[in-house]
Amino acid sequence: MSDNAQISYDYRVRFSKHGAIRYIGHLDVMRYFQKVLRRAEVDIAYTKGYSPHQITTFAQPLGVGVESDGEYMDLKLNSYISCSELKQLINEYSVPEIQAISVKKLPEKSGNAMASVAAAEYYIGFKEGRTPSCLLENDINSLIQKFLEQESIILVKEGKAGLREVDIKERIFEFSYDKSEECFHAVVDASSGYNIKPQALIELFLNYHNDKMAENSLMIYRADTYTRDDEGKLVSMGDIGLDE
Amino acid sequence: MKNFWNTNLALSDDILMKIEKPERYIGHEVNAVYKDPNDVRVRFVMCFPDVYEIGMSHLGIQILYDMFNTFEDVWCERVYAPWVDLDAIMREKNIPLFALESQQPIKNMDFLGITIQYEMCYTNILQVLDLSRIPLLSKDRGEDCPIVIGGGPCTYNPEPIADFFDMFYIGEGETKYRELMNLYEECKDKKLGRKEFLRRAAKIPGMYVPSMYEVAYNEDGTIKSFTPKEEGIPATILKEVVKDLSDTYYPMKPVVPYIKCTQDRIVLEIMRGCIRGCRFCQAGELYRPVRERDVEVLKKYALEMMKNTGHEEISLSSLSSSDYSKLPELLDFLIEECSKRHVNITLPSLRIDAFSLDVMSKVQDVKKTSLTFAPEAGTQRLRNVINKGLTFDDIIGGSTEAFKGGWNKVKLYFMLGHPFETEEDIRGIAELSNEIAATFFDVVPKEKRVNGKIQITVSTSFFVPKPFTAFQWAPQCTKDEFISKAYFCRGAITEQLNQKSIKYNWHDADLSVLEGVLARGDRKIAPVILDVYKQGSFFESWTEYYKHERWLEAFERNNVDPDFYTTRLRPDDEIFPWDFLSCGVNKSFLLNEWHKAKREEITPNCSQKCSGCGGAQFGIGICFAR
Repeated sequence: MSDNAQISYDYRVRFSKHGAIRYIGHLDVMRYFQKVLRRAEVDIAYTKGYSPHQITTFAQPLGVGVESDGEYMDLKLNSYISCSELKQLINEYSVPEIQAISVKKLPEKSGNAMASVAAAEYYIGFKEGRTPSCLLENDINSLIQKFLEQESIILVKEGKAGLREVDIKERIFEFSYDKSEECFHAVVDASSGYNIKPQALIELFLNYHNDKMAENSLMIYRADTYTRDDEGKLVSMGDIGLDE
Repeated sequence: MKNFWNTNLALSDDILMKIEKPERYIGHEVNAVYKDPNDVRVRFVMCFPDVYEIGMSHLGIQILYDMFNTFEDVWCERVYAPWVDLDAIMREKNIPLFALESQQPIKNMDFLGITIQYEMCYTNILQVLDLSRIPLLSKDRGEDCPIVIGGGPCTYNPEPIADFFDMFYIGEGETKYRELMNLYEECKDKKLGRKEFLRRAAKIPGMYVPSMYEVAYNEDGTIKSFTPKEEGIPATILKEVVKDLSDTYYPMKPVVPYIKCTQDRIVLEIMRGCIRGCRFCQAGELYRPVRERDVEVLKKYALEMMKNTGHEEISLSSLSSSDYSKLPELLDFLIEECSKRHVNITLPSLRIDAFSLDVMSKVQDVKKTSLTFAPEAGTQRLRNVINKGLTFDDIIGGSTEAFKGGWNKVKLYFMLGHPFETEEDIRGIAELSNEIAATFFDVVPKEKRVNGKIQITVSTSFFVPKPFTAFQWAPQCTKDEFISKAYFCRGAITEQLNQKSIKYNWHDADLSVLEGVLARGDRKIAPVILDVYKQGSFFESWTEYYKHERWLEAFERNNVDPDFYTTRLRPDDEIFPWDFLSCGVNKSFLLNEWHKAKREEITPNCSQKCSGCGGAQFGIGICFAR
């Protein structure tokens, strides 16, 4: 193929997941993109060896049933293509429910999509008729205030080595209630090992106020996924790289 | 948030979040066809009565889905059998079964087409009808019901399920559906009603409308006569065949599922029919005459389908791919084009020879793949009886070449319970397997043996006689006979010198007995199937959901003796329940084959010599190649 096979081009694709497609699991979304890239005839790089596979990395997996405008996939290509062209190609060969929102060309040394995830931003609402009573009777933002004023907020995480207690107080970067939209807004840790699921946050919050929620009562939307810049500030993963 | 949260799905978020693999029920796949219901005149739903991952892997439905949707006035959608978890919820919450694309109830459609690929899905057909709220019996259906039409290999004996269908399409679907749609539209415009539509449909070639025929039985339970109830309805129905496979419908944009399906790849159908004429094989008779698809057309299809699906694998489909005349040219082309695109080629089971070994070593990791032989019988004598043209020398010669090339896994497929089988024949299975192992040790020097071993896997299934084969007259073994044959085979294998290299598997005997009843059954079987379904059975092709005792009880309750259909030797002149159908191969030819089997005489294959089976009446294919 190419004489200088070692040269590669890294791109980051921010994509959405909406409607019926929110029931497609993470592994199937990964398989789905392999097929999109093949249909679009994108010059993607493959691993070496007997069964080569496309070199792609996905950021924090999205739960089944969650909608999002903040999913990320990093790609390694063998040849240059402009970001706008790549975005257009992906969207042409993808279903309307999964669309590239932006494409950036990554600088040579930027961590891969999975490893650099720091936080995720969610909007969380209750389905019709499933709002817990404590939220109906009180000012929700002052309930949140009290919840966050605890000395520690202990989340029990299930890991490979069994159950483990994590204090997430410093890992909740933003937590408030938007009255007009009737939903919570939260930015929480999503780094590997410390990922806080939005359901878990709401559950802890309700437990603290001696309330609980019925099964499957949440509507969850991931607005974006964040990484940290050199100064340690949270920035959208989609802001890394250049549109060139 | 609420603005975008709602979907137009038939199932609520609560249900979709609770069930296994919700992707089975949401549609929206790449290449799924969406039309505006107001723009079409006929709504057709195509059903494969098994779970989504199985149904989506079926080429026939993909072909017909594509064909129907090229008709501007028709919208064809898909439906599969809801898995047991969703089934229970739909019954509890009274949710009607819906089509994947529109998510609208099946009951409101014009046609429900069901492909019937194996007998063990019969109770799933009833499940689909039931969940759709369509009365299970054709005679109970009113003007508010879709026309339920069946197709596929099992319709070559439709009688056990005839009560559940309004009509059957006998043969290849590409040819007569346009005419049927025209007739339907005409009847709909004139408000003639379903009865009149069915009466008229019965006159279209290939269409079988069970309610238009009368069956009379002899005292012993065999069929006395099978006659049309009205004048103008044909007494014999000849199957439909595609005349030119290179100039017909092919799904260039097959639906690409999100979840991993059984057949998660591009399927390229290279030909139909088989020249071989193995006497146990139903497909070998049903799809005659052999017709090839033009190699240039196939190349074009392959490229287009890779582009349209993005699949990472392509496979060839036919009954006997080694017999495709342009196979080397096609494979060379595919190997080159696929490697450019990082697409894998999965080979169908090819006849093992120098050519196929060369191709296999190019496209697969030799160490990981196994060599497959299907001798079907252990001795040459019995292979002559079944007319399987694979010899001892073919197998040992092929193995020798393969072992030299680095292969060290062999799979062997046999059947137990062929007509005229003796203990010697069963012992032959063990001896042949042993001989293959010995060949390995002869051919491969010790230092070159991976792990020092050869792995031979011997699998036996039990033979079930099928309609339209030479063995349609044959008695099937009883369950006990089947099991003692399997034990004998196992015993014979353990007596072999190389027994440690041989692993032996055999199939379930209960299922084979039941398959035998359904395969050669008549209309008296329908109440039994209905009974078993009402006891709660479906998904019976999944062993965990197969309850044999329910069948035994149902046979008893409905006064049906299963042995009448299985173990009985049928006299040469018996009228079979399926005799009113014709697959083109004459009954007299099959009877002669049955007699030749008894005499251990072989019949040459279609490329060697025409044996005058009757397939030539279609005027096409290999019958006219020379």
